[in-house]
This record gives sequence, C-alpha cells and structure tokens, in this order.
Amino acid sequence: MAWNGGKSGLRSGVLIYSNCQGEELHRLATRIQSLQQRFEFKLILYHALGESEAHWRPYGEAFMRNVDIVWEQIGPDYVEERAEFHARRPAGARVITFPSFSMLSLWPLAGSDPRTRREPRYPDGRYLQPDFVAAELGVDPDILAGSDDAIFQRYMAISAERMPNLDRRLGLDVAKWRQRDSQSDIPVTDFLMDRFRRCQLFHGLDHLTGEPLGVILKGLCERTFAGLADLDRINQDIEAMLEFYVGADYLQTPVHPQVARHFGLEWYDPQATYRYYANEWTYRDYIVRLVRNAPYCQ
Amino acid sequence: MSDAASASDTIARIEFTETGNSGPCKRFGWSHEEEEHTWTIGRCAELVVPLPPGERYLRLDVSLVPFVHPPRLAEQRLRIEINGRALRELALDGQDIVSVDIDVGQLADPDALCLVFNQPDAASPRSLGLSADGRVLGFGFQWLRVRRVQQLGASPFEPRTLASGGSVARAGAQGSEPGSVIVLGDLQAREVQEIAARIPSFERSFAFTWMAPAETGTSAQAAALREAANLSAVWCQLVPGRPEPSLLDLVPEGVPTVTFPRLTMPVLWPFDGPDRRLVPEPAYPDGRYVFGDTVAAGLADAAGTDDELFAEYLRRSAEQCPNVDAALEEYAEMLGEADRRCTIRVAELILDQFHEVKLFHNYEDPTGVLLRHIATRAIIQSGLYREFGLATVLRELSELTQGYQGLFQNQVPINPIVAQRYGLRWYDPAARYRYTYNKWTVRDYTLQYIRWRPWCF
Repeated sequence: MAWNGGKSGLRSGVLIYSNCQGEELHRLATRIQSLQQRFEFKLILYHALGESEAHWRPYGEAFMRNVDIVWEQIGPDYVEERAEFHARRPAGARVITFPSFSMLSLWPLAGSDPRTRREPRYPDGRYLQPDFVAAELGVDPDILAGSDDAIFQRYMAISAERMPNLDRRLGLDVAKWRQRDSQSDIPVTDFLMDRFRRCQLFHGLDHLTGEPLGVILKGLCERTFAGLADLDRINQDIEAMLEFYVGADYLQTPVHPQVARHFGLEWYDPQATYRYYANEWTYRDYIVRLVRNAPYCQ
Repeated sequence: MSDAASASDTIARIEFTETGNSGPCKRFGWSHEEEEHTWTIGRCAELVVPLPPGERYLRLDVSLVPFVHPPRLAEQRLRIEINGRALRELALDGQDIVSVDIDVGQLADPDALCLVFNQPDAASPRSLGLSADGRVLGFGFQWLRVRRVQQLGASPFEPRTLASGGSVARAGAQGSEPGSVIVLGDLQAREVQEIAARIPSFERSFAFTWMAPAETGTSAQAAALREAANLSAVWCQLVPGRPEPSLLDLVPEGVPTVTFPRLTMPVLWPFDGPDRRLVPEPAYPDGRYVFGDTVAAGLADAAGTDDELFAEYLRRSAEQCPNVDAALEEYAEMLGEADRRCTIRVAELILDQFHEVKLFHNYEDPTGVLLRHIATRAIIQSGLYREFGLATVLRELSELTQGYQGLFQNQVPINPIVAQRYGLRWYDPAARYRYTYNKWTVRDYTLQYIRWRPWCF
C-alpha cells in the first residue's frame, strides 16, 4: 500500500482509536525499534472524548495529516464518538479492527458501590472495581465495627452464598467475545479460551496482562506491515519487548478463591500480593480494605 | 517495684509472648514473638500505647531481659524516649523491671505513649560466636504495663529539647479555613506530603501543599508561603552539601518547622557509574538504563551465552566490590551529618534495619518504611495530631500505609555479591523487581543491561 505520510516527508502515521487497552498498545508500539524511523504511532482514547468540540481540538488536521493506518478497537459503547471519529479520520486511511474485551466471569461479584464518589485525593473514587458484596457489608455499621478477621469471614460467607453460576457467566463472556470477533480483523476468543486457565490474562475486568496485548499487537502488525521486507525483525522486536512486560497492572483486582477453584486457574496463587497503585496487598487485605472503603497511598 | 498493682488501676497491659497482645502496638524494630518474650532488633524499636482521656499520673513498668554474653557483652544500655522526650540512660545486665513515672500533663500529647527504645549495645549471637542467629538483639520484652498512680517520683526526663522549639501546629478551627502545611523537597517530600494528606483525621483540617526544589526560593513560592492561610507547619527536606532553602527564613515565628534529610543509600549499589551507551534515544529520552552499572558496562562487548555472561558478571563483581565495612562507615558518617542538620533523624533506623528490611528500591528511591517514618516524625514534631490524638493519627497512618511500597516504580536489583557481603537477610535471589511496566529477576535485569536490550516503559 501507499504510505502517504512518507510522501509528505513525515513518518507514516498509525492511529490507535481505543479505550485504555489502546494505551498499552501505544506504549508497546512506539518502542518497536525497527518501526521507529518509519512510523509514528498516535492515540485517541475514545472514553476520554466528550461531546464538546474542545475534546477534538488536539486531533485536528495537523494530527491526522500523516495517518495512513487506523487501528480501530470495536466495542459497543461510545457510539456517537465513534461516528464523529469516522467523519474525522482521513478518508483514504486503511482501517484494521480489533476487539475490546473484558472477562466478567473472573469477577462475578462486580457491581456498584454507593460509597464510590469523587474525592479530592481519589478523583475516580477509592476502589475502581466495586464488588456488590463488599458494598453491602460496607454500609453496615455493625460489620464495620468488627475486626478485620470478622469482616473477611463475613465476606467469604456471603460471597459464597451469592456466587452466580460461573459457567453461565463464562458462556456470556464467550458469546460477547465471539460477537466482537465477528466484527474484527484480529479475533481473540480462541486464544482467550485456550489460555485463560493456564496463564493470567487479566489484571482486572478489562485490564490486560502482557500476553493478550502481545497477541493483539502482533496481529495488528502482521496485517499492517505484511508487505515490509523486515516483518520478521519487527516480530522479533515485539517478542523482546514483551519478555518482561506485565501489562496494565496498576490496579490489580484479586480473583475470588472460589472462582479460581471452579475454573481450575493454574496460575492462581492464594498467597499472591496484588498491586493497587503504590501498594501490594493480599486477597484478604484487599477485601477488608474494600469493605471498609479504606484510604490508601497512590 | 511491686507487681501487685490493682487491676482497676491498670490502663494497659501488653504481653510480648506468642499468645500475647503486642502486635497492634509494635511499630518497627521487633522480631517475632517467642514463647516468653519478643526481642527488639537493631538499635531502636518503637511501640505506641493508646491512653484513655483524662489521665494525669501514670507509671510505666516494663519487664525485660537484655541480650548479654559476659564478659564480651556484660550489659546493655537502654535509653527510652516517651513522646519525643528522652529519659536518663539505664544499663541492664539481667532480667529487670524498669519503672517510669509520667505526668501526662507534661506530655506533648496526652492521647498515647509513643515509646522509642534505643539500645546502642545491641549485638547478634553470631557476632559473639554463640549461634548462627544474625539478628541484632537488644532486649527481650516480656510485658509492659501502664497504670494510674496517686503521685509521682522524681522526673525521669532529661532536660527538654524540642527540635521545633516546642511550638504546636494549629488545625483550622471548625468551620474555618483548614490549616496549611507546606512540604518542600523532591519526590520523596511529595510522597511524605501525599501520605499525610490522606490521613482521614487531617482531610478537613489541613491542606497540604508540596513545593518542588526548583520552585522553592522563587518569588511566587515565597508569596505562597507568606500568604498561606493559617500556616500550621512547614516540612522541609534538606539535601546534603546544600544550604537550607532560603524560603525557610520566611516561615513566621511560632510555626513549627520540621526538617528531614534526602534519603539515599548508595552503598547497596556500589557499581553505579557512567556507561558510554547511556544517551537519549527517541523511545528513551533519559537513556535506556538510567541506573548505571560499571561492571555490566564492562561486559558490553563480551560474547557468550546468558549463563556465561552472568557468571562473568558475578566473578567481576566479587573482584570489584568495595570493602563493605569502610563503605558502611563512610555512609554512617554521611547519615550522621544529615541527622545533625535535621530535626528528623534517620541514621539509626537505616543502619539498624537495612539488614532486616528492604529500605530502598534503588539508591535514591526509598520504600514505604522510610517514607512512613518521615511522615510519622513530621506529624509528631509539628504537633499536627493534637486535635485528634496521637494514637488515632498513628493508627490511621498505620492502616493507610499497610502494604505501601514507597517510590517503587524503578526498582534496581541489588547485586547478589553485594547482598551477600552486607548480609541482607531479606534478600531473595529469585525476587522479581519492577521497572515501570516490567518485572525481572536480578539475572534477567543484568543480562538485559549488559546487552542493552530495549524494554517497554
């Protein structure tokens, strides 16, 4: 294909249009050595776009000028922003699609928490992946007056009672993945089903570890740069980049042990600690803090 | 003393045995509970005992046994600090009960006893040839009791010295502007400020502002300091070899000023140094591996398998590793100098604890342990806790910082040879270290560095 950016004396632009998963793809792509001289990777986060024109201002003509390729993430939400994006992206740009995906079946207790609110030190709320059992316990003054041990035991008892049908939840996830795959150039369902028991693919509902990000990035690069003579070198660079890369792990959400047992998660370690911003907590620490809506350091 | 105090006079009794209740009170400097006691380790240990309101005269009794091995270690000196005030020094050669009378009205805070036990003679059984136990042992604490008394004995305290001049910070009165606390210094100071600002009791009472070093001394910052509403305290980081920021001259009289050192620990990364390959690159504006390693740099052109290269790296490290005793002595002098300049001291804590606990992620990024220490001392010295009670604030601080890792983003593995020579008991050769979005072992990191491989950040 023609690389218009190259003709204008600029590096060719590859524009990633995505949710936060695209941030990680952008982080990885910009550091692929064999592409750095020829391609400029750009990013538009669709969940950060608002309705006003001001949000689009950084993505004007100058931004779009060298864009030859668009890596567009397919998802069900932000429909108006997507339509606006389609109107604004360069008409001749080649579009390669990839799916957005999450895995609700690993966190089946995810729900809302009435205590989540904007606070000066926690602009998005304290705990970004609420849990309805923790939320319920967290508004009961008798529970909160108890010891950490009592809180944890209560949580484990209630959560066991409320645990949904996990196989059904997995089925819903798979159905959603397949549906997105059908609209995308880079399918992921077979990979996810093949790997999710053997290795950790998610840090939280939609925060990915290095492995799935690598699969998507390699898929996108293979389609995008298929005509380049040094595709093997590009793949080697990606592999090197991924060797120690952990993905978006700044907000890790521990998996309930009952869920881990049910699905036979081989990578699950009951003693593991999980990163939450600048903290490392065990599963128990995390649950007690979640119930107490405890403050923490970022 | 008599052990027959009536139960109704007893405010707190803490047992340091396996089945005891000492856990929530212990801060740092404690080994695990044993059948009959808990050893203090290192040269200082801290304990906080909450007090009920309205107490006046108290007697503190502590039953403890020193770690001794005559004639080489015939006794151990013990110096207790209560809420920042030092008691006269004792020397113990066997099991004893130490009693101290306390006038609660004379304490800076009547809400809790913050007890620091300094033990300059602490030693390890290994150093005395007794066993392989490398813990530096001070005293085996058996129990501690706080009880009410009708009158006091002679004052146990040394003449009063207060770093901040005895001033006490003011919180914003209810319904008024919150008190301002200005924290000057680099990213370490910012972390300290972040910790303090998240303490629930402080949320509505104090507004914390961090000022970076580049900004201190500018007219805008001076104006900010002069115009700070209800200035309650200034916390300022001092950098070795540099004068105090001139901004401190503008702090109004009576406002508590706390100073703390910039925390570094170069001795654990003795091979830090230049690398000709470290130049800005488009993907790495500060260079690819910003923490230099001269031994690894010396292998940049070496050929061989990963195993061969790493073995050669270890061999050269052993050859080039500096004398650790001399390096540690020099480092202790540097810390001592910093302590003399600052109101918050760190030398004892660092030198006592670095064998037992990880205190730094790289030579200039402390872990949560040290940053929490600075925050705790700053809060105590500037009296920010007064409206809420020391015990409450310290409990909140402890809960807030559970699992807190400090400046954790750029962890540079410690060379295994260095870890061995310094006897770092917490060191795990298989540990994985975070470097922004990567995690690697010391071997992985070293090979990446030698081969100057790209990585993702």
